[in-house]
Amino acid sequence: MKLINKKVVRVLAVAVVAGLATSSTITSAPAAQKVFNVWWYSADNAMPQTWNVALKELQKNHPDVKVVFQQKTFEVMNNTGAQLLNSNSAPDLTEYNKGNGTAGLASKGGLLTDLTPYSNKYHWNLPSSIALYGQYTNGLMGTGKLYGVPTYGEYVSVFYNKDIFAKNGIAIPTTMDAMEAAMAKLKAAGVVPMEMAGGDYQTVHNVYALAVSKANQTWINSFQLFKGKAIDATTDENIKWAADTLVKWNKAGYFEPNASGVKADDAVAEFQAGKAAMMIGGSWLDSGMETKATFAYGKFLLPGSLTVGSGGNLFVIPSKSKNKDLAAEFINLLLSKKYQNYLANAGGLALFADPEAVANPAAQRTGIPFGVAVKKNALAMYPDWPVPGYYPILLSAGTKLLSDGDVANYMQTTGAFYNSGRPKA
Amino acid sequence: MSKKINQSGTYYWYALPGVAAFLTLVGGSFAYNIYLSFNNWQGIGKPEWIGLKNYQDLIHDHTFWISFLHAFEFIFAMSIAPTFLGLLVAALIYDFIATYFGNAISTFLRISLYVPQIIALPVVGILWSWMLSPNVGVINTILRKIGLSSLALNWLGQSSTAMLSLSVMMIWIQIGYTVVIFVSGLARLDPYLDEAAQLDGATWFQRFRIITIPQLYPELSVVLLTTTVAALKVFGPVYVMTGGGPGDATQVPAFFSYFHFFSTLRVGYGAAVATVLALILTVLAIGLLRLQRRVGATR
Repeated sequence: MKLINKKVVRVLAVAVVAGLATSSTITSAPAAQKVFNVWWYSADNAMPQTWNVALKELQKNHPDVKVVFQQKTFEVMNNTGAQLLNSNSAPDLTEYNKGNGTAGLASKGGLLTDLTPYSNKYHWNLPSSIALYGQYTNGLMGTGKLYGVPTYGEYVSVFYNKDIFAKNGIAIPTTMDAMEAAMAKLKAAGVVPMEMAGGDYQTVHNVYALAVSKANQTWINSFQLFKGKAIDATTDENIKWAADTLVKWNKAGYFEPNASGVKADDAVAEFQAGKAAMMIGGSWLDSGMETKATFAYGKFLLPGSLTVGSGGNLFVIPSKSKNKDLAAEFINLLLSKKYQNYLANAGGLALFADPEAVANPAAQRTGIPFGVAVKKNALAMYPDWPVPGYYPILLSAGTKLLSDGDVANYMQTTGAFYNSGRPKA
Repeated sequence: MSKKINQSGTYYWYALPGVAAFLTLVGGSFAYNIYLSFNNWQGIGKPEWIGLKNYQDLIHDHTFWISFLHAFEFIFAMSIAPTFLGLLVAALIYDFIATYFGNAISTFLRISLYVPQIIALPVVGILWSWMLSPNVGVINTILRKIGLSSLALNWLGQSSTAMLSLSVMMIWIQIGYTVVIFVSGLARLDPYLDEAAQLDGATWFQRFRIITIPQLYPELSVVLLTTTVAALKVFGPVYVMTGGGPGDATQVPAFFSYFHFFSTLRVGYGAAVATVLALILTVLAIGLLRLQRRVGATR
């Protein structure tokens, strides 16, 4: 009897361990229905609005498919995107961040599907200035196979409060001197000239916006695409001028007080409440501004040569996608005139909308400056693209720059990181 | 009979699930992490063996050393201060509140103090970020309203106060844990000793210092050990509140490791940081346990 008991115990123990080891395989029973997994980011602007409608059309065209949507965030995909795409839970189609550190790296690691055959099949005919964001050779953006497709654009410009401008007799500045004069005048009148979330992405964008206002496309090619003469980011004139100017504006009181501790949501809310005259912000804020601003607002490009902006985030088809054709069909829907016009009217920056199809004044408000930037070939991309992990460095160093005004330290910290991260020649 | 079973090794089978889980989840991961720390790897593709290069870089990395300095500062905020305050608060609750105001009030206070432990850290982070926001945050708003504008600082936005702000939040979070353990410890103590001392004319503080604290050594050592280890591997609050900034003012080893693992994609380097952190934690934990045993033996 005792002998049996002992055996029973042993068998039970082994069974428990075996059960632990195999439980994962039991749960993955084959699905009866074809499942289409889609990921994209925030749900509060024109892009997801449009995509949701398009997704419904796709669902209608394929009643046998079960569409499963998951919302991700820019930050999650920026930090762990490659790991997610490399895992077995990779989606069939996802929005993904463009740039060498994200889509570039993923394409190099074989995690993304080459979309060139689909582009040929559906005749997407993307202009090179837009396609380049999805093209990567050996992980570097600009040329090569098409791994992702932007379906909209985005840019960073100056939101301004028309009421405050009118009350203080200020015209839209067209030079940096006029910009500074306007801020000085507003400051003297007791108005906060510029909202500034120094503890958040706004500081990263502001420094780069100032840097590229001095730059030309040769500089962009070198800084972003590593073509031509290499940039030493510890001493680069444009970046140094931008850092100096940011500190100068901060010391002059052009930003709201304590800018380095302010988060983006707070800064945007303050601007929307009419507490500042201007805010440098991205087009992703358009929809929110339209519904929440308590005054008439407008947008203009920061004076200077180039503008922060690009094609929007990419849609990519992971190599592990189980429904590649369906994913490509969805991308094709988004690029169609129907949904491009829908997007433009919803206030998004469509790449291929018919101008006459856009009646919405809000869409015109953001679309016209974007059109100007696109037309003069002035989109300068985003500051954190060139090297992986650059963004958190730019952010923490930018916050520190606003709090202590130490430009030399900023140049050293961010520059050394850029220099060590750029591809070896 | 028990001797016979032990000899045949039957009981070892019971340990098998635990050992298997430990080996796969902790041991395996740790071994893999050590392997990665000798490689140059971007998270995908093939790791490239570079020997001790990551560790050599680490020695010269200013931020790495700063991050350890901050970890030790967190020992104060997460271990020493909450233990000290928790002991005091627990004694007050147990000796005064429960005696004079009844059990309901003392239970309510204990639960209230424990709430920060239950709230998910991201929620706590958002709450405190909002409270500490320099221009619209409730802390600065109150300070300005009561005429203390000079104290309404840019809490998280400048290097000089960011660490302090995080520390205050951590004390607020940790104190619930220490109070709950100490209150339960106090309930375990022999009341006759205390009463005898009281009859002999000992003041409350004398009794607390000479009778209560020595009897709470087991609780004290458990709390100090767990909170010290938690402080050295602190990650969540930094991730949610400051991202290690401004500059590297609030950088800590665990976040620094994560930063390289996932942001710069220098996975090998991040693994090297994690390995060093794990070694230091192990040495420290063994040291604390030894100390605890020695203190226990001398009593």
